[in-house]
Amino acid sequence: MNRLLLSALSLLSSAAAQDYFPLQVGNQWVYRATGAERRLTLEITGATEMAGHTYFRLTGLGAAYWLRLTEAGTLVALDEAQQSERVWYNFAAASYDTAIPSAGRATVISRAAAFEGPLGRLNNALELGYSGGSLVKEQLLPYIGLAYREEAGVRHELVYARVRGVNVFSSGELSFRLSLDQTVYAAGARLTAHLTFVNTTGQPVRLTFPSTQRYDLSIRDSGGNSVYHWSADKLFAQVVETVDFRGETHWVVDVPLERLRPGAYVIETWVAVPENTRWRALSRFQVAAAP
Amino acid sequence: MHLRPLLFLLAAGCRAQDALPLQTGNQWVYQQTSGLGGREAWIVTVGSPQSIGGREYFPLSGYLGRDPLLVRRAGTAVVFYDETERRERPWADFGAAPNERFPSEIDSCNSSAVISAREPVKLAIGEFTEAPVLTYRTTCADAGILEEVFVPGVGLAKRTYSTIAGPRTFELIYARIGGFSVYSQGEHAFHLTLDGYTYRRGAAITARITLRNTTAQPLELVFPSGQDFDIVIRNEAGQQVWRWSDGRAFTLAIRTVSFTGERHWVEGIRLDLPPGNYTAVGSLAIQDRKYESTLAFRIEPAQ
Repeated sequence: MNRLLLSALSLLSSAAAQDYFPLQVGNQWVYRATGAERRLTLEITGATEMAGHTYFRLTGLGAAYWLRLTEAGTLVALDEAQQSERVWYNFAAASYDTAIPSAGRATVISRAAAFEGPLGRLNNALELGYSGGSLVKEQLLPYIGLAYREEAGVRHELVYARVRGVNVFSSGELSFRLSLDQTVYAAGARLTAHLTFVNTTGQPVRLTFPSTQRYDLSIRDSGGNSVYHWSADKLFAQVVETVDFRGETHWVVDVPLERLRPGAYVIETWVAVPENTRWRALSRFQVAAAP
Repeated sequence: MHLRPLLFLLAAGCRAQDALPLQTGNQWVYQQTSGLGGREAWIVTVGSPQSIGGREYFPLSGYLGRDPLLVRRAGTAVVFYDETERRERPWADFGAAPNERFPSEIDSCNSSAVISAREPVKLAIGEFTEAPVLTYRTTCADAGILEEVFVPGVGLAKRTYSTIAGPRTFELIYARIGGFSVYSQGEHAFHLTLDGYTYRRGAAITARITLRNTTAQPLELVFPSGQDFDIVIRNEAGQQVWRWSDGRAFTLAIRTVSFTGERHWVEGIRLDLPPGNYTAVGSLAIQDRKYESTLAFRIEPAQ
């Protein structure tokens, strides 16, 4: 699923001048809403062959829609009842009727519009204005997709996108992540825990550590008993150190699981500051019985 | 500005010099995949550029024990600055013809290298159609780099070097290049993300909860109700001051979900919290609540 098809990306430059609505299974766009509590997440959840064409299933706008990009560069939706295709985006036209829900007629306001949102600032957005429905305006970014949508007083701004296996983040993020390389481990296997402290907010996070230890990690069984504690066999210099966290800081922990019996476990990690409940992550995994 | 590297990658195609993207903040995480010595990890980071002799060098920390390694592009080649000898030394020439030998002094046990192949490779982070493979000539018996694989637009993806205990291979498991990142194939993660660390009183906080399972095994989740997630905000004393689910009704039906892929929940939170230190706890509303992510943030007086 997480195949990074950079070669395909490189081909894009010759395949389509500007791909404003990338259609690959797994693509996902997450928006924040202002003006009303109305979340929006768009996703390409599948593909199918129909009448000699490949259509991609878009979810998130109420019903699911089957879309494809024609050879002429027009994004069309399949109308299964009518057995016909209806135009969503005619990227070559200045004004056209669109079948996008609640849209009516689309007019290109600019092909080099200034875009400013959580992802950053760009000046190459395609800006479309709509009339005849509740949809007011959209901005699409080449190779990323729909970045801004305004409908009936609700504004949706893209905060995260996953396009062709590449994750696009907003410019300001704060998180402490724990990621594991499996959900179920074979008996005696090794677990890799990848800890990432992300601070791209521009605001420094200054933490004071009582020693050279920066993080810790523990594993508990389903009864709550501690079965592994990363720092238990390690020594750290007892020096007070203040660290400014900016950008990304990574720690990778390799955990041998040979002593763990088959069953469910909870893994917990934290930044080793005295108030160790402030930066924390909890996840779970299973150890399978030996075959 | 974060989008530029991605757009460049998406739009411009893979050029030779992108084999080592040099932007401040870029990071690569590697883990040992074969050879003696367990599963050691190492991390490479690009620092802020420095000027030496009128040329701009990017410091790579964590690279080959030289810390930092000052590198710059010179056409299709990459060179590094030897601070002891105060001169530039060659590392790689990504524009070299296949099997054309070029000097490479990146390691004291290497003298030259060739691009032995530009071929499809399958790595932990994905499959690539044209990745230059550098094969090095070593001058030491059991030391030096044997081979490196670079992925255009991403950077060094795989390295094998010689040791007295046999070859050791490291592979890229994560990279962040500008404002985008790539992960290794298998990731099982849950986290909360905030859009700031310090907020003015009354300002909106955007919280995003992410559940990702790109491993080969589906994640079996049991939800006791229609609720997917929850967010709790606590003050410095640990007292709960806000809970997303308070006042919301959920259907009381047990749901079993076999989850693969990626799911996000985004919430805009606007609270009038007094200035101070807080924590936000995001959790998945499954039966045992065993997915949880806690972050600290601060509220400052309104201006």
